[in-house]
Amino acid sequence: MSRLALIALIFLLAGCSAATRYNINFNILSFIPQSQRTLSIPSGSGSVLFPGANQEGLLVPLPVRLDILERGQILVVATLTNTGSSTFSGNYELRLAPESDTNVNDNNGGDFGLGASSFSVPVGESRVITINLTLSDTENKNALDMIKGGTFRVAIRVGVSSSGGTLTLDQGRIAVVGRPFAIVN
Amino acid sequence: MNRPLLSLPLVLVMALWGGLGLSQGVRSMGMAGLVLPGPSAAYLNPAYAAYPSGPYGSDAGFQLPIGWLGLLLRPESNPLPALGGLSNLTNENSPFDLLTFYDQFSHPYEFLINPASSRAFINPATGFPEIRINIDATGIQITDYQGNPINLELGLGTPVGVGSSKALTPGPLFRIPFSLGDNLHLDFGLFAGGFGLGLSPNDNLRQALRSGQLQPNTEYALNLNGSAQAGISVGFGYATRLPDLPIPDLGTARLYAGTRGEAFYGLAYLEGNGSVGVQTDAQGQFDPNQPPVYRGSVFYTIPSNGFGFGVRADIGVVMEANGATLGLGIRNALGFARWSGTELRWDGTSSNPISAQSERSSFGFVPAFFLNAATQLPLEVGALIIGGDLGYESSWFGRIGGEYSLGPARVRAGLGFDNGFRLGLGAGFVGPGFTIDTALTTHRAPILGNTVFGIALSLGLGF
Repeated sequence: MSRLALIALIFLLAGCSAATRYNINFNILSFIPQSQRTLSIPSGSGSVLFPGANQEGLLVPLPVRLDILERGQILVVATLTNTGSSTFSGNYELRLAPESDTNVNDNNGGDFGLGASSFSVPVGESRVITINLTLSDTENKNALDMIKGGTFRVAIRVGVSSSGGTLTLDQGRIAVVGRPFAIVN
Repeated sequence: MNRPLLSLPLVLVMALWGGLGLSQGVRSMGMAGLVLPGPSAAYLNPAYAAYPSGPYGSDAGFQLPIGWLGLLLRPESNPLPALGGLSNLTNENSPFDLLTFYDQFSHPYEFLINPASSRAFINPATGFPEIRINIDATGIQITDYQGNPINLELGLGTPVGVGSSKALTPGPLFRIPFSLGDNLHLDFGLFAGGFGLGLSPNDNLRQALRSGQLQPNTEYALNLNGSAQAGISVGFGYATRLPDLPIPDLGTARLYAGTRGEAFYGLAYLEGNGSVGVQTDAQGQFDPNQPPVYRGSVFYTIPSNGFGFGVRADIGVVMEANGATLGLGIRNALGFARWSGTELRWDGTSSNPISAQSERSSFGFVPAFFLNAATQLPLEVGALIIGGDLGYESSWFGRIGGEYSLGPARVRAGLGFDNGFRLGLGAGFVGPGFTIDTALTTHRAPILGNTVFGIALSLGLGF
């Protein structure tokens, strides 16, 4: 995908002025097979990372180092369902890491968290959680810089205390806006 | 990249500027490209070398590269600020538009009135031109801000190689004719043209961009085709008026016949077709570590690695009867051409080409036909010439048009097809010792596809 995007980008330069913006939308959810979009959370306390069975997160391939990026947005929507017999509560955050960091959950090697919040789901019910982050030079700049660096990893970490539940990813999108001519500034 | 290959851009620029604007005179453009009978049509029909120039006038002016003006006067296409630093063109407030520059640069002899512009992509909500690229696991879609797919085809001229054109070299940039007496004539010419460049997605990529779906074990690629050639030519011809022929109901017909042989020495040649792409796996996914797949070949000749040589024969006849003129010319009735040079070949296994000495040659009967007719209609005020032509070279073309003259003023119009519909409008002025001609031109805007109008101008001097 990355090279296809790259050649398409080069191709489009001919239709470009100094003010032209590329609005690149990545449907991250589509890179996760349908059968793997739901995670079962066992009873007890602890933290789970999703997706990525070995803490590596999901690799998002970007065509090039996107120094041209001006701003962006990350949107993750998931559904937490309490299948246990006690309140399903905890906190969650988005994890980002560079391609080289294969553990996105250890604050080592470049990974970091953002968009942290908490939740509480009564027995037998579901709650939709949303992480909607604006990326710019003044908001979540570290995340914008991460995406500018090229291919990166992304995951959602959920710290829970429960007697059983599920986490289902409903949406996962990253949209970035860049000015191609900025590449030669 | 080796030194000879660095010379290729020079060949391309020469062929581009020679081939994209000068193939037709401005007077002819004003009639949608119609070529009227007369000595200036001798290149298309050698019998016209013996035909008088008086009845239908000539297209003697030389075209002025007013595309330069368009390039420099319009901030959107003016590259000169880059002399003070490339950022003068690329900063956010710069009006420079690569699409406008490309459109005007590729039409050097036309001042474009409404060149292609990225402003067509402006999203009113943001005020910026916007291109959307939607990427998911199964494909990529490129659209404007409204979600309309963007046309990813770019093309200049029509790529044609020696294999299909034989010894039919591009029309000369200029010809210097000499009369040798006894109906013999000699001419020297310089040609640089045959320029064609095409860049397009392959069928698989086009389908993927349209549907956003990728297929397993499929190669998605961009295709690039190009051609250009340049050299010098020497023509030797014989044209004469034949004995008049009485034709029942038409009266006496004047007949002219001519033949012309042309030899050329080729200085530069380029013929290439290739692709760069990526292959999906059995699941219809791209492996990020998979290298691009390069295929195709480039054959090129420049003075340091080879040369071209060719000969061809042209024949033609003209009949004039009852105030009308009809001519038929056949170029390249028999032709031979051979180019030696270097071939670079990519076989899909590596980005490094295999380089080898090679040649391109052809021999045979690949004629280019040209039929034209015209007549003068008597009017109470002024004079009117109407005519038409029909020809076949690499494809069919045909035009009808006319010129009305009143004193020193000329007004022209025409309709035709020549790689698409053509409309011609033009005007001219014949002064003491000079002529000025202008014509409205049209072409299809790159990427956007709308009609772009331009103005061409020529100046003729006679003493």
